[in-house]
Amino acid sequence: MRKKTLLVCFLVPGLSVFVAFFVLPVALLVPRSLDSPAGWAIYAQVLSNPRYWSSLVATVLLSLAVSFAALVIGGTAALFLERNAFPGRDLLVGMLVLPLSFPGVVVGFMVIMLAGRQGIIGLAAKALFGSRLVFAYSVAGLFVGYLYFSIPRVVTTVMAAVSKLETAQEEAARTLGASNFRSLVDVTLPALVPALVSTGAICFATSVGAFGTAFTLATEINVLPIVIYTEFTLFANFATAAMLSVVLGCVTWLILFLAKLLLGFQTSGRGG
Amino acid sequence: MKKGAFFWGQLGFTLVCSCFLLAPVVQTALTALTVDAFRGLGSGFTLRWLHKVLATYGDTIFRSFYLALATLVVCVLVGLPFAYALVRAGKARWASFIEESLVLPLSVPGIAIGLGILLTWGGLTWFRHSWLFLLAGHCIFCLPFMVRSVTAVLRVVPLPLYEEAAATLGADAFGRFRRIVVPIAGPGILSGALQVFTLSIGEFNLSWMLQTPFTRTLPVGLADTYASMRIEIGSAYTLIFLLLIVPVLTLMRKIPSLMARMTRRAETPDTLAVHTPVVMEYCGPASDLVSITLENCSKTFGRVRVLHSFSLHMPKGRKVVLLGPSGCGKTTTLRLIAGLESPDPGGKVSLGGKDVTRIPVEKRRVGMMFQQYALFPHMSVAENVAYGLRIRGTPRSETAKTVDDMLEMVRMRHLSGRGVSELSGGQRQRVALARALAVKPRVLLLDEPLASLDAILRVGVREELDRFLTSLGITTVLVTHDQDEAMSMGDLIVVMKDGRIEQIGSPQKIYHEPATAFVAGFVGGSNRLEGFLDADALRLPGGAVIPIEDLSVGRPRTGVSSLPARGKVSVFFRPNQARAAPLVPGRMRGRVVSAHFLGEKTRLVVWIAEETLIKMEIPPGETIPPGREIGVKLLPESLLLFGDAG
Repeated sequence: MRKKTLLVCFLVPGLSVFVAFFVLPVALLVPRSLDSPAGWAIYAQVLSNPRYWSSLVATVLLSLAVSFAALVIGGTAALFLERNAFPGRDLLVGMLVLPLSFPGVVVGFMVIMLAGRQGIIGLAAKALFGSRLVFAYSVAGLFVGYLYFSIPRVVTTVMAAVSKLETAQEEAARTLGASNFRSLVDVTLPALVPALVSTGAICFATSVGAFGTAFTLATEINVLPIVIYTEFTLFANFATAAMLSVVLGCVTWLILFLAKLLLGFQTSGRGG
Repeated sequence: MKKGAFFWGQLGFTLVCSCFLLAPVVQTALTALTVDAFRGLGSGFTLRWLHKVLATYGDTIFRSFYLALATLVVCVLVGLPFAYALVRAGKARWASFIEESLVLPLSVPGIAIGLGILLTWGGLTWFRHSWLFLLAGHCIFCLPFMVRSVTAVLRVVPLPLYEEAAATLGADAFGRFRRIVVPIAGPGILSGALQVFTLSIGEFNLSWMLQTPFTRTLPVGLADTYASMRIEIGSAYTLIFLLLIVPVLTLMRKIPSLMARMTRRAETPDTLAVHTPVVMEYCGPASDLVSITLENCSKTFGRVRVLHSFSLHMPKGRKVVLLGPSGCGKTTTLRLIAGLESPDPGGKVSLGGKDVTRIPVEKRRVGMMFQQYALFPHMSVAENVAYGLRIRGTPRSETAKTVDDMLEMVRMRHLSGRGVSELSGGQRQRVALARALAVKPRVLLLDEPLASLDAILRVGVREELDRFLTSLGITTVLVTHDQDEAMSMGDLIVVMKDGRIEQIGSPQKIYHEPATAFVAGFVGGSNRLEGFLDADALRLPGGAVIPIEDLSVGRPRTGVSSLPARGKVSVFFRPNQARAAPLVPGRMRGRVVSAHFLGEKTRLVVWIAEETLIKMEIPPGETIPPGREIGVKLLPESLLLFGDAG
């Protein structure tokens, strides 16, 4: 049919780029990870290695904590900004979404600016307590950095979701006697669950894969992307690097898949 | 409303939050401009660090800029057709699979993708050492943003409808893509382009894996300065980066309002607008009149047969109405004539005696007005009307004259520069009509021309349209589900049901002599009762017995011979063919449920034998209170009887 041929012609260039530089390279990581004599057993060996294992656990825990904190902080701000009109609101929104497309390295530098040796927090602490507070290069610094790029994501998504909500439902709750806070908890938040779950999952996935921030801060804890990088460049250990990349990809894919499953379950549950 | 502690608490929280995000940015800018970062602002301001960065890292800045532009070009060239194909594929399974997988590069960490690309393509040395290697990585990372942004815009507008409208005006597939799809996707392309640009400029994870000493980009350079611990150089470099992307980010925030304007344009007409009557008159040259013939046409979608094989001849210069409930196949019939659908094998469509079955819609010279009018949202009134002429390559001056004539004809010339969104429903309809007629079509096809108008407007617009079509004299096919519309506008009415033709005839014939029980029930607001016909009488609910000889008296059409076979029958009569009368044996008995005063008459709703509601009319002076038992006298000669088969 004519229409089908036309659609195929339109799809082919995009698909070839996609297959050549994404599908193929990512798929080939799996055979490359089996290059060592151990074969599949390398997965068990490497994961039982305390260095890799602790790095995986640390990465996942840190990302979970960041996602949760970002949801609470960003969600509160987004709900407030979308539901209230006051002078300067647009400016405030602008400030909150500004770091949205800052690359990881710049975020890392922002953490240095906040909590490094010359950081604002350090200077303020010295003025108040007489001693500098420097935590940019610790786990706390990494946490602050991940939070820095997660908050704008949460704010944009949740604001969009809130703007689509009907205020009528909240008003109905108010006429039935619910307080401002009660209607928020009983009506608004449940309606926002899909947006919160999906943005939370995206924050998590981004944090797990965040390389630039950790690279800039060069912290004492090794998150997984840094381990992959050092395996590859310093030790030329291709098989391990490929294998850890596969694990990293699986973890992020899994969390996004779970979020999707949860949302699908929720919407179908509502329908039935 | 007074703002309480809840408000101020939240405001404070949000302020702290935004300070957290903004403070380091401000400090970066200050450090970049301060002479000595360790002594603080007191040491004075300087541009020294910025100069130094430009001298040392100028190449990375330009390289990133060019790389971002190249990525942008690839993403537009590849992503736009891709997004269009995905939207047009609709709900096809393969399309949603592709769309889902396209998001994968966002969920797999950049460092893993970079490693994959390096291990797969790193062997090609010339490629590995050129900037094209980085370009490939950036495109994979940015392409999903472009595709998502464009599909989002294309999905909020009825794209297939606009394309069909353009096709009936003569545009082929590539013409439609260039003149309709690309302009409509405009805001999506812009928003996608800004995203691609900022993402590519700031991309670090992939770039770090893929770079060579000769292809270092801005973020790679940034990481370098950060590692060197020269905080003022790092700050100056960061400041340059921010100056590059912040204007783009600010522009990006304006996009949603642009998009909102776009979607508002696609909304249904403003139904509250008041209709100002106009008299339209066709004064152009007479169109060549052709007849329309459908032979053995049937249509199957997947496994559903929506039209059963039928043949139909529509004489030239007549107004033919296809009437029926939704899903009866009337719109499909119209689309067969237009060429928007082709009949199942064996079917044949002819215009003026010439077989056009194989001729595509854009070559058929048919004028079509769509239900929602399908005016192109990105064009003004005049541009919409001119579209079909532009496609045909008509000279500019001639186009301008025809557009003027057409707009004058529909009394819209004074609004020729307006946007489509600023028109009322009736005005939109007139523009759609002018657009369809501007190309001098051989037949005019109207799909539910009045359905998207408010009920208050409908009657006025109907009369106006009818007068105009009559003055036009062109062969017209009109689809409607409204029998009043069909009666008042058609020379010939084709009643359809479940993909079959029930009856073809003049409005009078359809009204007075319906051929089937369905037509009788669908036209004229009839009451329906289930009765029983035996050898000597018709028995109806409520105890009515009507002798068979009464049924044949004064019936112009039928004698006893044309009565259906003995047995169960469906009986139809109109509200004005029943009278309230005293209760006597053999007369139908009913209980009044409600009475509605309608001005020139009063309508009663009567409950017959506790099973059927009928409507009847009584003179306006009389009143019968609800609950009263009354006799219902039927006029035997006006009853329409259909056997079980009908």
